[in-house]
Amino acid sequence: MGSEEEEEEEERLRSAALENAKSIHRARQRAERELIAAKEALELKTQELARSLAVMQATLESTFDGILVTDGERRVSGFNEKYLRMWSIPRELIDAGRHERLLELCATRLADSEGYLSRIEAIYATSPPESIDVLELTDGRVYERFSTIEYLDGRNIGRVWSFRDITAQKLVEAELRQQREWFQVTLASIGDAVITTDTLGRVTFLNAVAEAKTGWQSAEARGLPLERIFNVVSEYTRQPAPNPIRRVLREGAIVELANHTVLISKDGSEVAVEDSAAPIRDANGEISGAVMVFHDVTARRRAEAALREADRRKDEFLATLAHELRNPLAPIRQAAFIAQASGASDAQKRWSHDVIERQIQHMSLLLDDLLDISRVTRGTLVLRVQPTDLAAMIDAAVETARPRIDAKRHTLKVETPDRPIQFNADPLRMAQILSNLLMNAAKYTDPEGLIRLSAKCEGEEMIIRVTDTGIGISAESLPGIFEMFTQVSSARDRAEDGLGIGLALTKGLVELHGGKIEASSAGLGRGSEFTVRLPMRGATEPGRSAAGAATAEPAPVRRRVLIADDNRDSAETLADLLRMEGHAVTAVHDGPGSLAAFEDFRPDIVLLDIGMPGLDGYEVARRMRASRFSKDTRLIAITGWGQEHDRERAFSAGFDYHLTKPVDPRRLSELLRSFRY
Amino acid sequence: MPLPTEPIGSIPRPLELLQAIEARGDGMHPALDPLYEEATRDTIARMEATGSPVITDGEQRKYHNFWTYSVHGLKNTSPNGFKIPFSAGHTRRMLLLTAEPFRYKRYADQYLDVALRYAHVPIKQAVISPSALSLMYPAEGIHDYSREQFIDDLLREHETEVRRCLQKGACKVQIDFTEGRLAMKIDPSGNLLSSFIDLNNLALSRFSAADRRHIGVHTCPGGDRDSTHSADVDYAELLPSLFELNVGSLYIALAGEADRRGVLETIRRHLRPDQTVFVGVVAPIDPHIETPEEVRDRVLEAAEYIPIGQLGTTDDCGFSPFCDDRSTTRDTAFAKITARVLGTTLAAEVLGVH
Repeated sequence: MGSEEEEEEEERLRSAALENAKSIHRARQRAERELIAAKEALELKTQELARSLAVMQATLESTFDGILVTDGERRVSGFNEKYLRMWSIPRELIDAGRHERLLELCATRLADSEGYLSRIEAIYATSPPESIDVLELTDGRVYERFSTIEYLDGRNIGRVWSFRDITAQKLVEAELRQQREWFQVTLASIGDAVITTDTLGRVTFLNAVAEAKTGWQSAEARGLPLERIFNVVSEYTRQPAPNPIRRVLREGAIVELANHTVLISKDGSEVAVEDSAAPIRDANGEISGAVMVFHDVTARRRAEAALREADRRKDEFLATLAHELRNPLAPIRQAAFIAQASGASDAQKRWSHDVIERQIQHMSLLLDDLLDISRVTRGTLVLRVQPTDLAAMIDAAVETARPRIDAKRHTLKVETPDRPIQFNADPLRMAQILSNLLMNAAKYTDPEGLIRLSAKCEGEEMIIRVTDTGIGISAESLPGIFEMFTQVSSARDRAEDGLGIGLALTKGLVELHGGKIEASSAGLGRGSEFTVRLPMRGATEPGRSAAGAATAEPAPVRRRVLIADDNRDSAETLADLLRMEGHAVTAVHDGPGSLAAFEDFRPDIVLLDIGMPGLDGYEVARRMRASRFSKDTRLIAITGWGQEHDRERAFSAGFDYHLTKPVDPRRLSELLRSFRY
Repeated sequence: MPLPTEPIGSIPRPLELLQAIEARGDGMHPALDPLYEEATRDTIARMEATGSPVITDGEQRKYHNFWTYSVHGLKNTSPNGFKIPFSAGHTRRMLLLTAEPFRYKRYADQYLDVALRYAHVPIKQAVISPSALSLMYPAEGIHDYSREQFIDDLLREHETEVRRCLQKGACKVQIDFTEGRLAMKIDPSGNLLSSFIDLNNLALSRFSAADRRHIGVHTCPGGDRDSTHSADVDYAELLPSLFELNVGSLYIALAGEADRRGVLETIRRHLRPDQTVFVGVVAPIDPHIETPEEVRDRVLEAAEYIPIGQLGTTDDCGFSPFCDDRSTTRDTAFAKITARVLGTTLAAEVLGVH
């Protein structure tokens, strides 16, 4: 090829190359534009990525849980601040990026360090899709740890560990458990039956009392309709009673079942019940079930019936009392009228006096009994226990009952031990017990009957029996024979007096002595027997000197007696009685007058009423005691106030004795004679 | 190896293979496959015997040469492309594209399929630069196939080839940019060279930074039948542009330069911190077989200008870029390679690089 051709060729090459250069330049410009666009797109993507990362990190930081992310090489690839705070991990440790070092630190915070580390190794070794564990820290906190495999494009690239503080939740669970246990213990302990149901009225729970009453076990009853296990009918009509739960669930209100319902248990037995039901509401106030509480009212209904009976007997007693109190007033009025009559003879006047005396005695006994039974029932009666001679006690009782026995011409046989017996008892009250039994025997035995009183010692007991051949006691009346206001119904046709409290009083007095009394009878018309058993406390044989001293006749005594009573009749009649016995007597009718008379008359004995005008008897007594003349003076209160506190008040005021009206003249005479100056 | 050292690529083919090719008249005939296979096996074995830590397959299978192997046999080409004159007086003519579209006939990774069967050390693969192939487009243009379209297709084919080689397991892909110095000869204004640099960077921009660390560029004044095509162009006119290429490794012929220190100074001025420069320490077109000591000295000389951490050694060029070049024997080639390896080791000991 010639040089010209070579030059042409070179020129073509140069031309081609330069054209290429232009194309390349344009391509470069295009590429640069594309690069700029790609760079801008990349920047945008980078910003989006940065934002996504920031959002992701913010999400991690916002989560309730502490988060740790590790890769397949156990390096830390992510975490949130909550995780660091939960475990108190220093920044430099997390920046070191090794999970092992974090685990070492966390293990020191745990109660079971070794178990914790072993579990981690097991998770790494087996790589389960998920794991969940409860971690107990030494400071009392409780964490729940959840881990799951982290996947990217279907590949396992590591693990995400999340930690949640469940300390509060555990405390609540423990409290709920405790409350549940308390609830169950409470339900098991309360005396009422409890049944709960769901919103459809199906049983969810029975407590032990409900199980016993219904005959159903809680487990077998669960899920059954309430009506199936709580079968109630009206006591009167025997028709099914309405189910209270239905109404509770429908109306959401507390419901009480109609009265007089009877529960028929699974075995057919019946029990009177009363119940109420209420809705159970959840935290939002919605009804989530119902609870019914019922209890056995059998005993209460019995008690109500007994109260009604007692009330009826009380009314009957009051009517009888009014009658018994009115009875003596008639002869008293009549006798007083006769005694006042201008033409009354001395015999008539003496008869009138006897009548009045008898009726007053009768009324006095009635009132004494009433007061005694009141003190016994209220526990205020005090026994004056002292060595008591059995024979003397029986004699006193027989003497008291003798008029009634003789009035019906009964034969009385008394059987006592040959040797004298003394035991600790209140002699007056013992005499009262036996006289009540003897008088009852006389009262409920037809004329010319036989009454037997026997007394003997058996071991540590004194056994006294009173038997009669009277009308007897029916079996149905026997259980209530010692109750208040009881009079044997079969004897109502007898025109006998009495309030029906005698046996109740007798029983109370026997029991005060620590003894027992029983009644028995072979039946109507076949007599009765009352047996008193008393403990033989301090029983001895009495000394002979005591018997000898008791038989000496008292010598006549003459005393200066001052009587103060605003009731002039009472004062004057008492004064006449005492004058008849030879005493020098002055009577006044008010408190100041009694003080003046005390200074002038200087009595040995003062008989003071309490309720007087001007100064009451207590104040008069105090002033008299303050006087220099009262050193040997006996102050005796004579009053209608006979309670124990009245007596104590009298003694506190300075009285030596306290007698209740109407005073027994004989007893007063004996008392006055007993004083020694 | 304390100081990296790598070959450029081509090794003279065995005589038997060359004779068979001549007899066939077609270097791509399938009957030649066994000879190619044996040539590759032997080359790899002898290359590994030199102690070189990185080897090539000697480009035994590249036909006809390092420049046209990828397009040899394309039906839409003619053999009367541009000419490359060599100082020995001969020329080599490239192919000319005659019609659309531009596609590679073959990619260099197919050579790796054979080489990897025999290699026991890392193997690199040389590919032709897109700037070299850009000269295939005719000055007058191609109907319905614009130059822009051609450039796009060219870049895509080059990218494909490089990716395939990397994915196949090549430790390095070396882009042969021997036309760089030639571009200054063609266009002393430097515009052509700049366009070559731009075109090659456009190709390199398609790769990630990690990939580019495994991509290098080789430049030399050409080497064929012991002569060059552009040694008369001052390196200083090329090297500043060369270091604008976005690659991790640059293989620069130096042993055959008259003013090696001048070149080294230029290199020092333009070398980027992320680049390693492999300086040529043996000259394939010089029949003298360098001694390891001579190589050592050349390395130590280079170390005066280039930081040790960015310094490597190579051959100035392939020993037989054109397959029919018999100017250098295989023995000479392997002897020079051995000297390079040993000399580099000696230099490393002197420099205290371990």
